[in-house]
Amino acid sequence: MVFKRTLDKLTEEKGILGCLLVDCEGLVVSESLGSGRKDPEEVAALAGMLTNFLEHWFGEMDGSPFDQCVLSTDSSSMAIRKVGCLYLVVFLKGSGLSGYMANIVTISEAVATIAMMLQRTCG
Amino acid sequence: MLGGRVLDVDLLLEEREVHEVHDILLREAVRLARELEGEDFDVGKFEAQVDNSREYYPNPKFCKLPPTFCSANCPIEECVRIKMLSEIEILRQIISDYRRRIFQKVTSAPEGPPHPQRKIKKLELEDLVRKEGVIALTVKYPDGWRDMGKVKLSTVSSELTALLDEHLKNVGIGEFRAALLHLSVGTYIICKGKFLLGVLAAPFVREGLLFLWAKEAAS
Repeated sequence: MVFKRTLDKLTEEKGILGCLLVDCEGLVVSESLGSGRKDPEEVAALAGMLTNFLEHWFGEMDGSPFDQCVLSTDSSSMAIRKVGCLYLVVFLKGSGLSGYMANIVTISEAVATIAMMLQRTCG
Repeated sequence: MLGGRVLDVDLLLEEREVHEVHDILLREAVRLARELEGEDFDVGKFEAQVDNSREYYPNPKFCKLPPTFCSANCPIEECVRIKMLSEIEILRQIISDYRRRIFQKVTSAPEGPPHPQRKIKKLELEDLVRKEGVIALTVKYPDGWRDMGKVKLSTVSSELTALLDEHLKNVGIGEFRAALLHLSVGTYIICKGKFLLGVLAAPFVREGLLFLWAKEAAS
C-alpha cells in the first residue's frame, strides 16, 4: 500500500502512462498501470528477464551493478530504474528519449521515495 | 516565487534527510546550470536567487508541528526545516526547467534555413567512432555484426536486441526501436534504423546528443 500511493502519484504525471514495481524474479510488487492497459504480470516477467540479462552483462562489462535503462519503441518508451532490490518500470508517452528526459526529475523523486520506504521497512 | 510541489514524503523527512536532499538538489542544479551557461556561471548569485525566491510565511503543509511554534518553541519564521523544504521545492522546479532547456538545446531544430552549427550532419560510422568520447560501436550487417573501437559490443547487442524484438511487441509495448543503458564507463545506446547499431560513449557525452548521433548513423 505504501508503494501503491507513490506509483499512483507518478502515473498522474503528464507524460506518464503507468508504472509498476517488480522484484528480480519478475513478480509484481505493486502496480499502477490503469485499467485495460498492459497486463502487469506479463510486463513484470519481461522486466525480470531483461534486468537479469542486464545485471549479468553489466557485471561482465565493467563490474558495476545495473542502475537504469530506457527502451524506446515505435509508439512509446519504457524506463527501468533499480531501487534497492526492486525495479521501477515506468511507461512513457512518445518514442525516443524525450518522454524520459521530460520526466527524469519526477521519476528520480519516486525512486528516492521508494528507496526510503524500503530502507525503513527492511532496515 | 518559482513554485513547485511539496511531496507527501517531504513531510516525513527527518532533519538530517532534509539537509541531504537539499544538498543533492543544489549540487545537481549547479551542475546543470554550468552545462547550460558554461563555466562562468556564478554560483553565489544563483544561491542568492534561490534564497530570495523563497516564500517565507507559515505554511502548515511544510510542518506537522503546531502552526506557530515548534516543540523547541522557535518562531516559525526562523524554522530551518521550513526554510530547507521551501528551497527544496524551488530547486526541484529549477532542475526540471534546466533539464528541459538542455534537452531542447540539443534536440530542437531551428526554424527557417538550417544554421550550419546546429544542423546535425549525416554521420558515417568511421566518423562516429572517431568522435570525442565515443569508445566503441557495433553494426549489424546482413552477414553478421562488425565491431569498431576499443570494446567488443556485438555479442551483447545481438542478444539484447533479440530479446527485446521478441518480447516488447508481445507485451503490447510496441516494436523495439532504441535502448539506452547507463554504465559506469559511460552510456550505451542501441538504435534500430536501416541498420542496427550499438554505440558506447564516455559519460561526458550527453545522452540526447549520443542518441541523435546513433539515430543518424543508423538511418
